[in-house]
Amino acid sequence: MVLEHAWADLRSALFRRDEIDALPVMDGPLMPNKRLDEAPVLGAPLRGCDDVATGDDGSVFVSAGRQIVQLSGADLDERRVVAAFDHAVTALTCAHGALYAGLAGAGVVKLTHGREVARLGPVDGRPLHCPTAITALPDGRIAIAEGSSLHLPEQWCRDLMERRALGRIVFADAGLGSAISRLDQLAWPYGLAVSADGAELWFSESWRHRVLALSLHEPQARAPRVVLRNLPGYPARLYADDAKGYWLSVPAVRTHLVELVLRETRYREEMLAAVAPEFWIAPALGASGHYLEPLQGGSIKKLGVMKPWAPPRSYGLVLRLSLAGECLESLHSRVGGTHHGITAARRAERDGEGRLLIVSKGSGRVLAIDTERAP
Amino acid sequence: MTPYGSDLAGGPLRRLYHRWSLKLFLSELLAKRWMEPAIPFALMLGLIAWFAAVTPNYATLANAHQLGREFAEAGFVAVAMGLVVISGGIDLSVGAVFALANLVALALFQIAGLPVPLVALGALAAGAAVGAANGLLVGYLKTRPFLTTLVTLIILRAVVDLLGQKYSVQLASGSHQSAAWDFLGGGALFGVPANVVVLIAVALVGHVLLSRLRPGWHLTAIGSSRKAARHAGIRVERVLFTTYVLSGLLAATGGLFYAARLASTGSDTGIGWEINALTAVVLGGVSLAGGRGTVARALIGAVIVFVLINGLVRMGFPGALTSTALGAVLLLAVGIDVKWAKNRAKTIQKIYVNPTVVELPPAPSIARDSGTAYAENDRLRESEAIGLDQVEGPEDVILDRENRLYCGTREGWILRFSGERFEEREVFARIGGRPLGLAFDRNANLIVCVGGMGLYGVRPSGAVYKLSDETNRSWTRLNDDSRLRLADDLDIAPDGKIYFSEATIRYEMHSWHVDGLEGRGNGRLICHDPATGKTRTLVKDVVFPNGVCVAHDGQSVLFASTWLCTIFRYWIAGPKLGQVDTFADNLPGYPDNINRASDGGYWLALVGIRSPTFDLAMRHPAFRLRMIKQIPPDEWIYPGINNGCIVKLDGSGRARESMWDPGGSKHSTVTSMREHRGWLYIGGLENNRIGRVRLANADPEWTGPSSYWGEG
Repeated sequence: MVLEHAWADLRSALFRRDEIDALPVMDGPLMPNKRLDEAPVLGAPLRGCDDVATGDDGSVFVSAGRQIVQLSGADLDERRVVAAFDHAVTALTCAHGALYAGLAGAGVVKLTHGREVARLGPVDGRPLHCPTAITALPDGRIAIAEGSSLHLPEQWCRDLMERRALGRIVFADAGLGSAISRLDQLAWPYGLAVSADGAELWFSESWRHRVLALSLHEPQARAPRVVLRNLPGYPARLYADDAKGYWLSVPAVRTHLVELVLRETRYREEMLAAVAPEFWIAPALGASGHYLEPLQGGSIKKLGVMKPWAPPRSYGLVLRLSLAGECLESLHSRVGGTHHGITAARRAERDGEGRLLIVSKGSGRVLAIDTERAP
Repeated sequence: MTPYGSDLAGGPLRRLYHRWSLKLFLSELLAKRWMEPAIPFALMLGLIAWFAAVTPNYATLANAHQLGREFAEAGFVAVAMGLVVISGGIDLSVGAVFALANLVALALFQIAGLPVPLVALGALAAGAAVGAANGLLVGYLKTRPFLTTLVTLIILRAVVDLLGQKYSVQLASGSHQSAAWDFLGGGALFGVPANVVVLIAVALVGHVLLSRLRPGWHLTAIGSSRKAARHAGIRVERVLFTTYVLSGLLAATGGLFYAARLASTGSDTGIGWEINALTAVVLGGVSLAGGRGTVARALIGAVIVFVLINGLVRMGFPGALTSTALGAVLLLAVGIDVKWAKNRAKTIQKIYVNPTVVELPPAPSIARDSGTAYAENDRLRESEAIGLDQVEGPEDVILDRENRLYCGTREGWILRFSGERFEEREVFARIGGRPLGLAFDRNANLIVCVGGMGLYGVRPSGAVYKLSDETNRSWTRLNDDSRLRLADDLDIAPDGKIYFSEATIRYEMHSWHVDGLEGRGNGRLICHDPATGKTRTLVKDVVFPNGVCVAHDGQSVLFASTWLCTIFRYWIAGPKLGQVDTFADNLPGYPDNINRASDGGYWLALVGIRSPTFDLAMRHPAFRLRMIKQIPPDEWIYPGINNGCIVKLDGSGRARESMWDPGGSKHSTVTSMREHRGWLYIGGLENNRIGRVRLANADPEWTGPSSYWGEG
């Protein structure tokens, strides 16, 4: 134990490990604001809402718990259940006139008019347990991200705290008839988007807090290109913004304490074994403020108030990226805010007007923001 | 169970390792002022040992005698230089003054034939006069010390040379004899050369002057910052003048002894001595920037320079090579010393916090449906607010016989609320520090524990007086622990003795949480007797002693050990007098203040609830240490104090009921509560209000003062 830490100290002295040594500060385009908290909420709370998909005809679908719900009406506050399953729906996309949905522990299904027409089970001999994102490729195939081959999507926190890298990206044909693993040993790939020129598949690798680009034309052996690294949070769904850029949702931000615990093997293992998951030193989608949760120095209530800059256990963050992958602006919900745990943010076109649909899993709400407004 | 720490399962070796920390000793050792010149001191010993090993007949008494005699003269000059450098100046004329005194002494003795006391007086007066000239110029006319004393050096040198040439024949042919003169030059007291005895006396006086007396402090203060010293009201001109006079006197003393010993009028007398003295002073660790240094350091440096030059000459090194060697050693030592001085404080900072193992048994259930006395509820949420947003951090609250409510605040005030609904707020007293525990004595004086200051009292008129700010020092510790750093809570026994806790002696009020992360027995239970004015420590090495309460029967004092989640009892009367036993343990949270309840039980504030991750961290000292080192304090894990909970204990320490504000929406970080006429008043360290809740089964007439001092 002592040797291990001595070795780590030596290594950090000799080789700067930026990802550990310099947790990025929220500054510049990441400057905190209240835009997520000020965003209008669409309709009543939608428990377990997770991903959002838009059809070519402008229809909007949201996966919520074990259902796929279609939002309609002028304010998108009318709900209609399109499909219901025995498993949680953990990824959703519209392609080729059909809905593709990832089911926790049950693979990916293709739906037309609410009926299952195809299902993808095991790929390369390994079951597809944990679909986290689906997108259609320019050549008509479907790309699927699997967070982990060990854990289900709702066990994301355990997967993070166990420092797993058991995720993969799978390419399947449009009919879900055949599929191959394209990339392996990823630390929870959580979002997929095809680049504007159609040459690359961008994906977020959550536990390594980065966004990578996989070439769709070049040979397989080539390693993906790093587009964005050392993000301040764990990135999730990535959606193209009408050839202008991308929207990246960040369900939780990194904190010094969690990073420390991730380095502290012995403490972490004991914590995972002995402490109830809701009280771990770990990120969360929504904070309860319960007194048994770990309390950090900056979170102590002073004169009855908890400061918004307290170390966040949960946070709301959406980033807008340029086509080159630079962060241009951000939407926040800070400590004390409600719209935390943003798992998806996607631009929807409607009557020629674009707006950003945001799914806050932490608060169980779907929000909409007028993106044409100057940042 | 002992008050010294947890005795639960866990490797005994591991616990021992974390209990007796070498780092702790080292950090306290390094923090001592006398560790600053550790490097020069080691160099000095090393040089002496080396020359003793390589030079024949070096380590003999006769040699030591001879060396001591020669050294003393240089020593005076070094002390002279040291004093001026500490005052922020420099005196380059010390070598010339030395030569002048030598010449004056010889002239007065040989030519004028004066008696020895007059000769000494004359030589010293000559030195003092030169010093006065320097002092006048530097102190009052504010000339640059370097240039001024350089000019003095040149002029004096010329004068000494001229006079030396003029009188050389007379001086050389002088044959005046005197026993006293010979004693000055070659005599010994108890086997110690006379000049060494005088040097030791001067060093002792100088040390006391600099470290214990006002003029010495003024001198150091001027060296640190002349401007600040002037603003503080120090008479800068006069002190500087005196310093230069002292410097001249000391250099002249050296010259006097030199004259008596060698009777030499050579023109090289004292040449280059100012450089040697300066080298010595800097080498010893006196800062050239002023304000930092001691006489001992100047002398350590002088010994190094002297031993080095002397030793190399004896080994047959040519003069130029000796100088080079001196320069090289100087360079090395100064280099190391700079690093040492720069990094010492950093090293202390790095090793000061020494977390230890704190293992607590599984906490009793606090679940809403658990049916235990600790079961979570919402009773504190029904509290009425008093002084909402008019009070900042009422750590403790207390009520007097007239139903007025007092509390200490983070501004260092005592606030008083009066009126039917406590709507009138007034500042009762301004003490300063951080007022914490409160208690009324028999004469209705409000006795206050003030974090950062000690034990204070406030008369009913609002006048503040000090009771005590120190206790007896424990001699087994390196650190002087007599000062009260964080007096926390108190209570008063029927005989008027004040029992109070000092939460920690290693941290300040603003860093109490670091003590929590350390989890060490750093606190103590102390007794102050106002009758005699004496303060003494009763129980040492207690883990964060916090609330204190004299039991209803006046036989014992209860005190809470916050990080151990335990309440101990110290017997102040009866057969167990002086013993400590456990009153209540395995609490689900961190106990703070304890106060009497009307039914013979006690109220206990739980400032925080044990959280599973913090409990786990307390079992892993190395984890906590790395956390402290690697991440900013705002990100550290804390005990779960964003919660409000008050527990009622019966007379034997068993929990009977609890009142909760889960999450602390109204009352987080509850540190105190007082029962008064059927209500319970609630204070909190970080709160913006005092609260009160109606007690259903309490005696509506019961008050604290009547419980302690009867109906008045």
